[in-house]
Amino acid sequence: MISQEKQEKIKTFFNNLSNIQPDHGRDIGLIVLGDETLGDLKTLTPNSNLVTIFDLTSDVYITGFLEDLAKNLSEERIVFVRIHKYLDPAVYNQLYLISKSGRMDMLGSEKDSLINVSDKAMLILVFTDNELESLNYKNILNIVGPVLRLN
Amino acid sequence: MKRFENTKIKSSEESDIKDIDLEKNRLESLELIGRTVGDDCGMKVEVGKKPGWRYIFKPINKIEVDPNDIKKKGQDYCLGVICHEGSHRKISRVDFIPKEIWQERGFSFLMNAIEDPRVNNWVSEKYDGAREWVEVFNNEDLSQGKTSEEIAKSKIGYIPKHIKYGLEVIKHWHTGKFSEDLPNDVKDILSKTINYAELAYNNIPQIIDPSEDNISNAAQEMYKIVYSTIWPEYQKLIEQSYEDEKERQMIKDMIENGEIKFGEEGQSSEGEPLPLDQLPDDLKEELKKKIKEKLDSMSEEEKDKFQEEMKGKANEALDELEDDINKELKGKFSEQPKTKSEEEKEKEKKKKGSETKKEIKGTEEEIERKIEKKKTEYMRVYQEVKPYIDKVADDIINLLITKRWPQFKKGFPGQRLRLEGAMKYTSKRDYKGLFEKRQKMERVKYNFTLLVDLSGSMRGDTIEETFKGVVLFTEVLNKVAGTLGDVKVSVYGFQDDLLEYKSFDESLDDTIREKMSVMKKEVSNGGVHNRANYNNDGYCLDKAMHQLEGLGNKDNFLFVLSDGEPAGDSVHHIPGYDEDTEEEELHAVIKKISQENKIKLLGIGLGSGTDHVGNFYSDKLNNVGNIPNVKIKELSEVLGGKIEELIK
Repeated sequence: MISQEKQEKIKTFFNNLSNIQPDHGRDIGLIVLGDETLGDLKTLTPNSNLVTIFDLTSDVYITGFLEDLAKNLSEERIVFVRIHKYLDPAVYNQLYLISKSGRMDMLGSEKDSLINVSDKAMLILVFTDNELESLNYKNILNIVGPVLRLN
Repeated sequence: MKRFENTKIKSSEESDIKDIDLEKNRLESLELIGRTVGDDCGMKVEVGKKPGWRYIFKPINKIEVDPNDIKKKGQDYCLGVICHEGSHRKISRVDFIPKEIWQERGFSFLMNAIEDPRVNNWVSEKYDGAREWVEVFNNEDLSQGKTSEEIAKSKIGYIPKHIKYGLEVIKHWHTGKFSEDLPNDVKDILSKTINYAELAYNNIPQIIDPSEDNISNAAQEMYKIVYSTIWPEYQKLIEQSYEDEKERQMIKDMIENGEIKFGEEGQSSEGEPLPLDQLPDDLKEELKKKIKEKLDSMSEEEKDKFQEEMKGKANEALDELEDDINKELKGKFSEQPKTKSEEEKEKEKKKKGSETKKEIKGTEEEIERKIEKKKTEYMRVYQEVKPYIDKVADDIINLLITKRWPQFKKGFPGQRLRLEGAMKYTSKRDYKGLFEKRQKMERVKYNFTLLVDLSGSMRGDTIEETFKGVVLFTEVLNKVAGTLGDVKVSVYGFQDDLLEYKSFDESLDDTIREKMSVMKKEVSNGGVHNRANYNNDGYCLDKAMHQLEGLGNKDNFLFVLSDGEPAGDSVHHIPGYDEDTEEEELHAVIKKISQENKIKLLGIGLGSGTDHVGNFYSDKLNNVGNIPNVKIKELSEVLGGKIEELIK
């Protein structure tokens, strides 16, 4: 069971991420999990029915994922992306674009389009400490905003 | 000097053996001699399907014998041809000639025209009996001369000058003189170059056991002579042939457009117009005049265009002619390179081939896309879960069939004899225990409800995995119902209220499967009910429970696919609960189900972030179990065990 203290920390994190955003681009949140689960994080959001979870395991079809991600971010959704040790360059590229210009560039996919991230959407990357350490993109922290460590 | 004297074939006049035996005998001899001369034991000699001798050195060495010649021509003629071809195999080499030179128009034909006498010289020197055979075959048709003439005449109606030159070289080798009616320019070049041609075709390898180096050196020397002395002069004839053909194309064009009329005197026997210098003087002058008039009447632009067109046609005609002649001669030089035009044609063919291939692939993909588009989401997912259906269905069927065999009890009369009773009957004559009677079996009825959370929190990976679960359960339970008989299955989704996809009384068909395909869209408000912002778990579970209980059986199962987090509206709650107490409401309904002992309840969380299923569908309660955070493969492995736990 997640402690009360941690629950408060997480809620504050969501609140800050939702309300404090830069003029240009979008701040992407990053959470480093301890014993918590994605289910725990979901229950602490203001409305769990606004939450979408993506688990980027090795068998995920990246183009399909990016299309779904774009659709969710263009709506007012809270998106958790669970990343493991490997981040596909195509995903990193889109995260970079979101971070710097608040949009996703879906050129080359079936539906060529530029998608603006909704002002009320939130994107949070979720790692364990070990996964973050051994991630193929060591500079991931350069493209994220607030970081919450729960470990 | 070796002799072939012992290799005698009976002529058809001397023997009355049937044609087929004659052919077989001849072929055997031809093969033997071909292999000996070619010094190639692996070389095959076969009767070809089409007329003509063909020489195929790739991918396997093979000489195809003319099917008519082997039957009709004399033995010496056939042996002459096979000696000739075998010696091509032995001493003809062109691998050192640069490709660009080989691909020049006319060069390959010129080389073939010199090489033919050269191989004849060599084989005649090497084998004592061969000279006569070669003589016979050359007397009948001057090797390539006959073929090349026929091809040229059938193709363009006349023999171009450079082809004529080649034929005259062979003729001169054989008879020591030229034809009498040769055009002056051909005659001039022949007189200038015939000594060099002799030098070239007399340049043969050693007669006795020539080494590969010796063979190659002799071939190279021959090539050097041809290239440095004959080729420069020969090119003049090629240019002449080109000019002749260009003019002939102009005449042809004018005839086709009705600008001039042509009598038989200006045509070949095949009906093709002849080039100007082969026409009678008066006709030649008249045509020249008409051509000039035509060109003068044109603007500069039109004239250029017309002349370009004629040049193109002339090039095409000469290239095609050379290709056709080379096709017949191909193989005389082993590994003979392709001519430029052949290479271009092949490239074009390859290009067309790859374009067609691309087109076919595109069409196939388009059809596949269309089929894929027509497939419902249900059918797409069905393909994915298909491997697990049988295993899970078997697991469940095995669990539900507790009494596999009929039960028997001692009784009279009965259906089965009892051994113990029989012994008693023998001793005491008591028949009451003699038989066993089959007990009446009450068939157990099972009911299943599948309840699927279709709220917004299921979006992303969760609904992807959950929908696989929906298809898996639906198909598995359908199979279970088909096997066990008295099994009813209903499928519901839920948001703020229950969404019916399949009632207990409906049987699963494609309409229902299509209806269920919308489930995935409901989570993003793109379906039918579109209340994805709410999931009133307690209220909906309670409703599903009552429907199951309404069927009146004890053996009911309720499977809930959810992420375990109620977030309902204010309207749909069971009495005593509201929005703020919806978690308690869900707990209360689950507790009630557990206590009533009429339903086995299993909460299943498919995909990431579904661990909270365990918090609500706690397996500490009787008749309740959970499987959180699983993927479909894992579910198929553990489901049977979990249901077994619930039944016990």
